[in-house]
Amino acid sequence: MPNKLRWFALLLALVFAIGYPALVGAAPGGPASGTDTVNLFTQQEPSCFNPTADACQMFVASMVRSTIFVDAVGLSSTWKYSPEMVEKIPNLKDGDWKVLPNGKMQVTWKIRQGFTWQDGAPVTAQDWIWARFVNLHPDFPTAGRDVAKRVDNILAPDPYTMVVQWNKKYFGANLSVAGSSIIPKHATEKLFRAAPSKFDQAWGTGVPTLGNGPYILKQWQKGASITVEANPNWKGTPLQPANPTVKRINFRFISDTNTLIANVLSGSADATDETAIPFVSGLELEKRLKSEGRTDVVLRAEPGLVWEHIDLNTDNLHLKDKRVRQALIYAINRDELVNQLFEGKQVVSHSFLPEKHYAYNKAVKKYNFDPAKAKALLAEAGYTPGSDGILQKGGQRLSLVFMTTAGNRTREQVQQVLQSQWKTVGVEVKIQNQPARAYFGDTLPSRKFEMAMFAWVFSPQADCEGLYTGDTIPSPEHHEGQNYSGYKNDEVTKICHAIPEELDQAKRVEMFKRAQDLWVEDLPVIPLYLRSDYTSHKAGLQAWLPTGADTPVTWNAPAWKWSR
Amino acid sequence: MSRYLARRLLQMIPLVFGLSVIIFLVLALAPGDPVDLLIFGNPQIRPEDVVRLKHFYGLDQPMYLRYFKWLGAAVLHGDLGYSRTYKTPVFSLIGARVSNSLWLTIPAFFLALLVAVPVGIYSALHQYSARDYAATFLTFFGVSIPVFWFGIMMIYLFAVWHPWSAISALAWLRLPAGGFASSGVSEGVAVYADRIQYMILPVIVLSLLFMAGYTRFTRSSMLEVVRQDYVRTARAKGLETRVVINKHALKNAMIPLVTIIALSVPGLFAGAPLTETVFGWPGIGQLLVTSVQGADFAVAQGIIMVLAGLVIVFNLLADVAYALLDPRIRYD
Repeated sequence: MPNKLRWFALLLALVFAIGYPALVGAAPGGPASGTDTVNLFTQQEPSCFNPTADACQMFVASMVRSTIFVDAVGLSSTWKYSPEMVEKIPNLKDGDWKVLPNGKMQVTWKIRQGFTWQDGAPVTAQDWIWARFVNLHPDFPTAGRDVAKRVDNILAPDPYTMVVQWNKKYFGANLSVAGSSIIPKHATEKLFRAAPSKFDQAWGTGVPTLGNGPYILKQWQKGASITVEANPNWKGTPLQPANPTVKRINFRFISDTNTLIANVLSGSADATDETAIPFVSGLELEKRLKSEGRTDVVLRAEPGLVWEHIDLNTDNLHLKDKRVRQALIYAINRDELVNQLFEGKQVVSHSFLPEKHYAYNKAVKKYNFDPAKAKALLAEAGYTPGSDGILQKGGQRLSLVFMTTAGNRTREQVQQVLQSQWKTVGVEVKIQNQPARAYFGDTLPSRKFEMAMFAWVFSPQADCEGLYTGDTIPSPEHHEGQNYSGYKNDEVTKICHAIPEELDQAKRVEMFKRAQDLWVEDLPVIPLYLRSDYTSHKAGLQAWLPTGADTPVTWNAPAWKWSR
Repeated sequence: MSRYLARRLLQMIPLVFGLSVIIFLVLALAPGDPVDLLIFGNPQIRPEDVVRLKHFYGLDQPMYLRYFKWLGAAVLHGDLGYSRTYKTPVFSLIGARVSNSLWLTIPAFFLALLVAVPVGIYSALHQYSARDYAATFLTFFGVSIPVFWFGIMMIYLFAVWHPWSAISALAWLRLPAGGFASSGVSEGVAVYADRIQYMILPVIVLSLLFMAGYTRFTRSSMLEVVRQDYVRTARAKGLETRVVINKHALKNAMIPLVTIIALSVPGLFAGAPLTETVFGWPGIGQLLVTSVQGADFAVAQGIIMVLAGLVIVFNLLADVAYALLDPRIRYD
């Protein structure tokens, strides 16, 4: 070997010999940028912060927005509602929530005094009234007006009192003022009235965006990061205390999962949110950190409200028979599936509601793994084995197309497991996946599927109206409605329409229980499991409490602090 | 030449028009629109809300009407529409992202040329030598290695592992694991100094892609030229090798390379989707990917139209440059 090359090889060997321990060395456990800052990494960038505009409904947008804006009521990680900008949550017992003789309702809210917008103007009733006005304006692209339309009017007998007049009963009347959140009237009225259809472009898309919350939007480097800094005038609420130790939160956007994980491993990321690390990657990362003996980074999987399931098209020749649908679920071993693929961290679901939901029916019928029963049901339904072992009836093979989003490794693994389990009972399943846009944009709304696996994202107050009501089945001509399986049960339809108007929670729970019993018996959908979301944070960051709901992890950002 | 130019300019009009139809159709015919995607994040959305939003965004209008509205606004007012995702005019969004991409592509381009041309020339002049083989190997490595793998490996090496940091003199050699800028740095020279540390790895990774192609072109072009009679004559006259190469051979060898470079220029504006995605660099390539995924039609259409226009213009410029460089080429 020539001399020069020899020396170079020796040098390289020396570097690696000395540096080898550094290959598995721990990243710094402390904050990346000081004890007054948290660098929170996520995969997507928020579009905007208008609370009701359709394009601003992304989860990451609500994550940043919840540091800048505070609404009347907040939700904690234990799923308890807390009065934030109001003195108390109205209830029927105290009389600040009244049901009127004509079936209408009146809910009175008392706003906490002393809170201001970040320019010093007081937060008053007019700001909620204005937000509702914007939300309902015909020229403004709101995401949904379902709740806002149930309100006739909001009166303000004084600046700190709101009397909300509901046109019919609605159980969620004490969870938000009128379903429209809060917008600073004094700072946005002129802008809105000048061009209502362009308001979502004119406000909430950059600095400054005036908020009333514990943090102020300071910097937005589009495509790269958002920085919020502590509001010196923040008075504190039960969930979001005053004088936060963390004075600055830098939200950084990295769309590639591997690069994001590299930031976790290198110590640049103090924390990652619920959308940053996909479950399978989180599982692998957790194992890796354990094998490397690293305790400086904590990963946690929080079971949530994302419900993975398989919609069955009940108009299909085979699937219109309930016995076939039940046979399909008996034939699959969901417990083994979640243990093998997810190490049990994503729990099997038995109903369209998650266990944490207040109205979950614990006594609902459970379809445990029972291939013998599956075969018996299929035989009862008139299926006999063909020469290739696949069941058939009236000359039609029991062959079904199973679809989901292409490129999703977890879903593809699940499909393969289920496909082989169904084959053992004589059901042929062909996998045919599509890109998300085609799948969600056309296939599902047009009901051009036989079995379709995907997830719904629920809220803690979710109900079944729209999803399992017989009058919300979309058609190929009209994509509206989310009852993709085409489920029609008159009693379930009636119950699901009635639930939002039942004020007594105990009665609602009974109604939900009945709806779940019927639904589980009819089984228009195969419930699979509830997805868990991984978040990560450095071990030194305290009070990091993901909620597992649609409330993001920043719900208590002012309470975060670094341990010494 | 002027007649040729006039003819080419006139031909551009139907070409751009035809491209606009194709680009619009490809995006409009793809299933799913932004409102359809919204439903899956919000299962409680009501059918009447879906109808209202589709009407608001004009998604319920016939395709030909949507096309002419978009074309009319673009041609008459230079308005490419609004990004539904970012709530800003498409034009300003593209402008900002293109300038971010240029921060990567221009340095990568020059770095690639700086390495590729001398290496290509050396390889050609020492054909089949050990160093020629080494250069060829590195070239094929550059062309074959996937950017998404190489990029993440570089991030892990320089940001996560950095095995040399045990040597205190080298401990400073640690680079960010992707990203565009440090938070809190927003003014003055500090912005540029900060940006440079984020640029180093993506520029190296991107330059490797350019380098591979340019090295091969330079080498093969040089090989062709050094075998020409006039080069042999120059050598026979007793001129130094340096003079023969730099004065006689190089200029002619550079002609095809100049053409390739001119045709690469639109690519500089197109950014590098894979590199930008891996390194979290908010460039135009990454924007195109996210706008297609998020059904932000206005942005996707705008980007593709601008890039298509640049390709057409630079094709013309490349042809003109070719004619100017090589007196044998004449257009009429």
